[in-house]
Amino acid sequence: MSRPAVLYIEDSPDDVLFVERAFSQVAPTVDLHVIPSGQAAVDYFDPAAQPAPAPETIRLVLLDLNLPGRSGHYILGQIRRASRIPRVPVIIFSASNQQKDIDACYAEGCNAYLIKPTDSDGLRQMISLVATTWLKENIPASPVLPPPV
Amino acid sequence: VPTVPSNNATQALIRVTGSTLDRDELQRLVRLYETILANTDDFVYIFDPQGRFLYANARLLKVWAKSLDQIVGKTCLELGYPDWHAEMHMREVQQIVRDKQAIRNQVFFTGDSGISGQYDYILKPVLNAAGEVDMIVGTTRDVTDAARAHAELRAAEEALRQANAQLADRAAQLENLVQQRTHKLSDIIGELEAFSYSISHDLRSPLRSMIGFSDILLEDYAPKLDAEGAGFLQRIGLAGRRMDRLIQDVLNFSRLSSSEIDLGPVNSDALLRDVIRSYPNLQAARVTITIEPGLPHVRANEGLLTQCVANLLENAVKFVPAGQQSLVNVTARSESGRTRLYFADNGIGIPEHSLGRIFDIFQRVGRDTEGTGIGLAIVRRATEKMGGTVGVQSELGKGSVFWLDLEFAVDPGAAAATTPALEPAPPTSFTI
Repeated sequence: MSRPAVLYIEDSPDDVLFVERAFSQVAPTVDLHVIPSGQAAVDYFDPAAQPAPAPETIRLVLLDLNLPGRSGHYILGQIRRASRIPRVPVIIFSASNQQKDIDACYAEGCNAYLIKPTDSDGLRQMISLVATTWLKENIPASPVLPPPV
Repeated sequence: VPTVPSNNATQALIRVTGSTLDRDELQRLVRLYETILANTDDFVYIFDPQGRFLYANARLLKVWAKSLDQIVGKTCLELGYPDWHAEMHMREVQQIVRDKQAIRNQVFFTGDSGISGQYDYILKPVLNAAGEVDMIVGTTRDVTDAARAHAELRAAEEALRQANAQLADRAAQLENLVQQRTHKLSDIIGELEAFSYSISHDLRSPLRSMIGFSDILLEDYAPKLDAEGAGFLQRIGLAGRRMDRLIQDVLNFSRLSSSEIDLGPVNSDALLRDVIRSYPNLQAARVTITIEPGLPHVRANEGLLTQCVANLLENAVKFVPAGQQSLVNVTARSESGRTRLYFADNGIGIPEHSLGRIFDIFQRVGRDTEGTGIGLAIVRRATEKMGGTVGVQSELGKGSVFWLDLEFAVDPGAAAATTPALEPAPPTSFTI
């Protein structure tokens, strides 16, 4: 079985480093692909684009909210309404603990909203939880379904 | 002194009235009327149908400085009235002769007729047996004072009207100003909320990097560090975590003031036990928290009350001399629809001079390296937000009692079955 592909949309190189490290420590089989800006994410999910890895192979999207260019809210809406993988699990991974951000993301159809932990222990626990909840080897990749009507 | 009528006046009367009374009787009557007419401040006079004076009373003669003999048979013009005035009276006399109707008018004298001011006069026809105008009797009254008073009243009314209008204008301006300020304030509040958001994200983000990298150094490079270096790194991590908590607390505190909250009955007993279960430092071996059985329901917001109770309990177990068991006793008393929750500890106590500002933000009493100085400020603001009050009693070296005073609430589960007992709970024994 191939390594599960996770797309991480994040502009902060430090956060990218921490999350890559946490994955390598608690879920080393994960194949983490980083998209470093909102605009790059918009381009990636354009149905006409042919990006690598192919969107159909993505098992999980980790999405930061506060991105330069296009916000995480916008990208979540694009994934759900105008991408080739509208049913892909999307986990918001944000520093914001504002209720209005959390409510808006659930209204837009995120699968979970996680607040970035402050220290490396907390981050490891969270990534471990994400891997066991969403990336267990026996869970098949989500089938490609038509967008919700 | 009554004016003694002259023979001429009596003769004039006899002539104009065609009286058949004898002279003595006429003189008596003349004396009588002269006395009456001399006693009034009004001018009284008689014209013939050609506008010639037949009579003037003493008051009018005095103004003219003439005797009756000098004026009988004279017109106004002949008496030296200004043209406009003499012509006005002549026109009026002619009108009365024609219409046989009385005239009432007002005239203003500027002094050229020997008098000045506002005068009100009535000219009334006296008809003969044939129904023709025989004489015209006039009375003229000085109404200068009344006119002036009237004018002053009108001016005062006008001033009042203008003042009212100005007042209404000013009120409208103020209302406008209030609206502008309110608008400005809500803009500022909006900006502050955006600022809070930016604090939450922009300040905590670099902090996460600092903490994260110091963690990585400690985890991955430990063999390359000596004990002192590792200690410094640990201190960097601790300081970063403390700053993170500080930012969080300030945010929570500022959100308290702007957010709207719902109030309802909250089971304080269950809430306390939940708080203790979810805070590891409240379950430590050195901590004993005793809760009086059956704490009542209070009218509160569950989230805010949880925050208050957690902050008070954490404080209660924190400030205990090293090596000593921490004992916390939670009790309640309900009276007059209010419930007071007491949190008594056996900690180091608070100096009296600090008690007054203990609930103010950023006030830290001791050298508490963990606290942010916001916990008790949150307790007070949250409690006030729920319509309650907070307070503290303390004795140095013995402990403190913090209390929250909230509205009593009926247990929604038991409400149908029994009337709630509002009797005060039995006196509680505090450790101080």
